[in-house]
Amino acid sequence: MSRTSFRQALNDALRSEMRRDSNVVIIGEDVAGGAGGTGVDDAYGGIMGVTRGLVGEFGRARVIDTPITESAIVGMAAGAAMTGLRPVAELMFVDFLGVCLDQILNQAAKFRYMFGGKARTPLVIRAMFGAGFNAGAQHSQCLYSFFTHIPGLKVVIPSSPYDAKGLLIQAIRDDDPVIFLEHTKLYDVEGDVPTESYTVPFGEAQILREGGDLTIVALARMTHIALEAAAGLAENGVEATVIDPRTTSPLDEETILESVAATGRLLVVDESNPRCSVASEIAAVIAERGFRDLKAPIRRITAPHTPVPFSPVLENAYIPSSAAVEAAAMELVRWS
Amino acid sequence: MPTWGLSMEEGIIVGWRVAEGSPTAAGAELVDIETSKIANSIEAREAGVLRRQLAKPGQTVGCGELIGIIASDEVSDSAIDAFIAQFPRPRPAASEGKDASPEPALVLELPSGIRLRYMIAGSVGSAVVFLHGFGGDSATWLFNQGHIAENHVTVAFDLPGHGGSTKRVDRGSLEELAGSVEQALDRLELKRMHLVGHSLGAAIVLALWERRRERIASVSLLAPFAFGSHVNQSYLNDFISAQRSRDMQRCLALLFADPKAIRREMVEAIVRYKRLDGVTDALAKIAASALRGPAPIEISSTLKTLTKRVLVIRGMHDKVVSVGQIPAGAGLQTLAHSGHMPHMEEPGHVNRLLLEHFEKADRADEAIP
Repeated sequence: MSRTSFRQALNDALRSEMRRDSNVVIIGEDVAGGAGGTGVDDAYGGIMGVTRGLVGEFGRARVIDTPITESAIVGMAAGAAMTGLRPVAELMFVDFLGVCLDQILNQAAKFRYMFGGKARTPLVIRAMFGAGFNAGAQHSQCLYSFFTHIPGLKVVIPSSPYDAKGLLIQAIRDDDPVIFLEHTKLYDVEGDVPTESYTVPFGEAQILREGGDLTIVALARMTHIALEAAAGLAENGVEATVIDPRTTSPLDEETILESVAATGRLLVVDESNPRCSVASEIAAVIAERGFRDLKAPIRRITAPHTPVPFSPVLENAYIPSSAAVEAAAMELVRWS
Repeated sequence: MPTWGLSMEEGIIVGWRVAEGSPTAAGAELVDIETSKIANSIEAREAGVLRRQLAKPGQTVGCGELIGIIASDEVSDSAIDAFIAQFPRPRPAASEGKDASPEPALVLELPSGIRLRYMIAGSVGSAVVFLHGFGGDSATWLFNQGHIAENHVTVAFDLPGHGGSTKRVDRGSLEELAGSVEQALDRLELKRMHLVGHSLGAAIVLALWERRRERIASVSLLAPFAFGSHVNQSYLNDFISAQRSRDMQRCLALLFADPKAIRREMVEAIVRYKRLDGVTDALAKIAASALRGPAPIEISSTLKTLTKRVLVIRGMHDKVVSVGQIPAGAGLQTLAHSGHMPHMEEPGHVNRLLLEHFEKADRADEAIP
């Protein structure tokens, strides 16, 4: 057990799985870095440094730099997965999924179904996402709801270094395509992470805090905002349960339903745009299956239905804040 | 405020069970304390009057800080005030230099290649070795080791397949587990020791008795898998197969007379251990090999002649391991408010019984010319 950053936890997961299974390969832009140059053969390790050091240990046959072409990265990785490799493809920004969506939507996600269960596609697509570092409308979106919508994909959004390592190892060992999304603002978050390998199962939410007055479900970076809000609420005598679903497909509906059965109030905090979002899906599930437990309407705190602004002032206003979560929670608690 | 285990830095006063100004007996439950991991009662160490409650219910207090004063009626209020005024405030752990706080968890590398993690505490008195039960680790002794370490050198191991030790086991038999512990004891060069084992750990203690009899001063067996007892097989199966926190919580509830003693963080810690590569395999092997069928009824002839050195402690509400045929002459204590975890459920009582048992054996040792 040691204090480890989110970034290092991902690196540990990749390294330990590459040691364990020679079929695991990494494919992406600059995942090794410096291809064709004469410098140190290891210097870059991807734009966020997640794959740093891997080309030195595993060589360029297993840490493969590609040209800037997302459709080639995902197409190559999906095909490789069909042949028995376990590729981990890196898309850099999830915003670039538009360039390679057919490879994901119509190919990788459909292989198992269309080949009558005879094809396995043990593919992981990693990408960073999220607003908060002033990168503009094309490099800041939360697009997990796109993938969650597609049958045949599993969608993972870790919020802590512990989950990042365990979920990535689980993703690599999984025989289906997994979309693994990393919030840009979480790479430097630190936490206790076992040095040994372990898996965190898909479809099990994590209860981060327990309280009887309301249930807050929050995704990825928003779990930290929700916990901040919950601490503020506790000072005012309101005790919130905070739940991190960890995976949006499959989604652990039971844990949320059980909590709402106890609290009667649900607030969902999601950095995505609201229409057809994961927040909307969770609200719908509880409205359908947990209606009799509700003492107040379900509330969603999300980004507005706009692109992510480039202006830092507007970007700050765009991202759900703990103050907004607290205010909404107080409204629910006072509802009558 | 006591320190339970390595990670506790503070505790919350849940409530006092004795009113300010009321008398209390030694061993009577005094105050309920809760940490992020577990809730428990503290028992009064001395008889007297609870003269002051210095921490109120709901208050969070750092480990080592003063929470109350027990004294006789004769002690003046001014003397108590003076005591409070001069009571040293504990230094926060973070401010201590690296040299002042020794590495809490140590690791022994055995000739077999197995790495065993252990916790060591205490520097005076005879040696005491703790062996935890199935699926546990050295942290199971969080209410015991620190207290007993005031008078003894204490070592608590993580068994193979458990805690921070190597997860890989071969067959997972009692002999294999005892063999690893034996090698570790040899490496630590403990000349003579008291062995304390819980459940599976108790079975290993008895196996060690056979191997290292000359170095064992006494044995204390808590909820032992021994003397023909059975383990609840459905508990074992559920523990091995539980993947989700909710399933694990249900499973762990069987361990305690009062399942409310379990905190979410405790369940989470066990689930995190279970997720480590190799753990499920190791536990399945140990359950199938070391814990299958009834524990051997026959005890060795050498133990029969030394039953005075055997203490057995059981919880009246144990739903995990059945009562075996405790050998005549061995001390048997059945605790009224415990399930399978008396050392966690009634730690004050268990600590007292253990210390008395060690003292008796130490005195008997001294009497040998």
